Amino acid sequence: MEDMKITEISIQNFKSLYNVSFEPGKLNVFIGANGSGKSSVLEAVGVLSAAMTDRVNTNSLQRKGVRLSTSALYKSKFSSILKESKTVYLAIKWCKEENAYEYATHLTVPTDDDSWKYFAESVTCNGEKIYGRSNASSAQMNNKVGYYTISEALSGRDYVEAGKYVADYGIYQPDTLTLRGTVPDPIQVNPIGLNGGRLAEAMSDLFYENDGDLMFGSMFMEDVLELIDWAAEFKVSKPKKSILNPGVPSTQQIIEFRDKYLKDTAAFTGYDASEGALYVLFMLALAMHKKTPKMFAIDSFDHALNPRLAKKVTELFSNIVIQQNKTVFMTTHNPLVLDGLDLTNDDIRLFTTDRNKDGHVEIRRVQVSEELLGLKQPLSRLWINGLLGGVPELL
Amino acid sequence: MSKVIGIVSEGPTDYLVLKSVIDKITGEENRYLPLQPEADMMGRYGNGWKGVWKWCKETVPLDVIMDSIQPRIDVIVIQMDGDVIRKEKEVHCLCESTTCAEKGKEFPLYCEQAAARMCPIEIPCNSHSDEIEDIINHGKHVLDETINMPDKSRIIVTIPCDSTDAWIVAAYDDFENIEKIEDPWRSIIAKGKYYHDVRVRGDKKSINTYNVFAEHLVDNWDLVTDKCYSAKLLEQEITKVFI
Repeated sequence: MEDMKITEISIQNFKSLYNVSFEPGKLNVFIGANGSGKSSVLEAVGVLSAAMTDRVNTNSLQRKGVRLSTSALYKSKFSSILKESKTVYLAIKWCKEENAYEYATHLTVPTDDDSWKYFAESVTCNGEKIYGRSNASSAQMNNKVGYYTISEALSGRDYVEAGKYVADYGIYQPDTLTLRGTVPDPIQVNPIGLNGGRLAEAMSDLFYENDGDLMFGSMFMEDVLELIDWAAEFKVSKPKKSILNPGVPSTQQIIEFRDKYLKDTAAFTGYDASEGALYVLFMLALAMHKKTPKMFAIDSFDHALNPRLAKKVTELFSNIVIQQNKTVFMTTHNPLVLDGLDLTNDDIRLFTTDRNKDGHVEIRRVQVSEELLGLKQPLSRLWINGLLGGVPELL
Repeated sequence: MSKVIGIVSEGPTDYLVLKSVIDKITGEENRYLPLQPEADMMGRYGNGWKGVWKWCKETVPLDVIMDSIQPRIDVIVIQMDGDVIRKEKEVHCLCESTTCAEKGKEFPLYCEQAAARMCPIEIPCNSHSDEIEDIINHGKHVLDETINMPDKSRIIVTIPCDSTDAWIVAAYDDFENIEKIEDPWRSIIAKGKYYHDVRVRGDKKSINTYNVFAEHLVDNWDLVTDKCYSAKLLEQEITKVFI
């Protein structure tokens, strides 16, 4: 059976995204100058996910890692817009086997309480309306609740599957202290929190033995250890005095490392390990764990990673994401991340975000010809030299 | 229809001026890519006229690069100020009148004699007059010869004389032969704290100031092209390629 595939996302009147749409692949990397709208794209997808599968309010947005703004700032506030639109428009198209689906909604931002209201909502299949409602509908409906998961008309297998695919979307922003286990994750979702909380617990589900080989998810443990070159071993265990100072706050389970340059007795935890190792394990667990969302985002993918490590992790991460049929949106400022992308694979897509003359964000997919790839021009260099866009204009 | 235009310029204020001017000439809001050479390990040749010249030398194959990335780059505009022809020996290295034992052996920008200030070239160069047309022609020739590309119809080289600042001054004031005035930034614009009510911060060319200048320049572009041959030439070349 063919997997569902998201084919287009459209956003209007949300923050700096006045009118954009893009056609994602499985792994979608956004590059752009600071303040060019990359994170707003991730957030807009968060609002879309909440709108389609639940409701949009402070609670649902927080669970997805969307920054809470004042009501006025959720909508585009460009001085060039003479007549402001009342609603934020969000739409997602996907296909499954022969069928093409679309969910679209117009939402009004909160006024009296924290709930966004559904001004209109519709679902189509191959252009035919399957479900729809608007403020003009005569039927009594709760305008603070999305009806995608409630409507009888959308109880078919394909709709349910699409709802599940989109529902758990979250924007992951791993944070070193949370990964080390010294502070709790403010947004703990199962199995890994948006800031990296409970990483050890999630990792414990990924260890197993296969024909005498120790595995970590779909990877040989040996291959994972090549990424963390100082480590001889890592495992998940309980905190104990011999590896963690009792004065350090800790989670119930911890990641225990052995350093290949130290004696076997000198084990230590994530608290004392290099942060890069924790970020690598976080990314791999996020990509491989069966219970992590099918669709998610990572803001600043390259954080804390050496450029060469970032390149290698990007290569591995993108392969796993495709294997697992996940859809990932991520941002980066590290040119070497681009060198880890195989742009000949249509599932891997690179986008630039730039602001136009009026400040509106424009999203463009970057594609590079076989001829140029044959010349061994690294994408990192093309980006730094300005040929791809997505750089500050005047620096 | 809006185009994708790469700009290789000496600095950010030149980029800003060119962007505004090209939008004015084409009547479109085009998309611009600020193209920059990489500096070497000592931080040299990353910007300024040396950076521009180095970019022309080292960005190869330019035609493949322009066509191989989607969105495709329609045109590249390369800017080097005319003061370079007036002041810098390296750009006369291959001129007829130059006599140097090292002539032609190395790309002039990387010549060790020039770096060691032992370059025997005399300025002004005897191979050209100091007429604006000759200065522009020589500047264009130097860059054209460096760009390794069989068909240069989508490359526009502009040599503002004495610099893009002359175009700004032409938009505000009525100096005679403005293109012949040396360093209009220091000699006119930054002479006082204000230039036509626009605050000028000492010797620093600030982006905010140039945003105001660029707007005025565009509003008075016809006046500028009447006064500046280099501006007129850019307009003609842009029009030829785009319209």
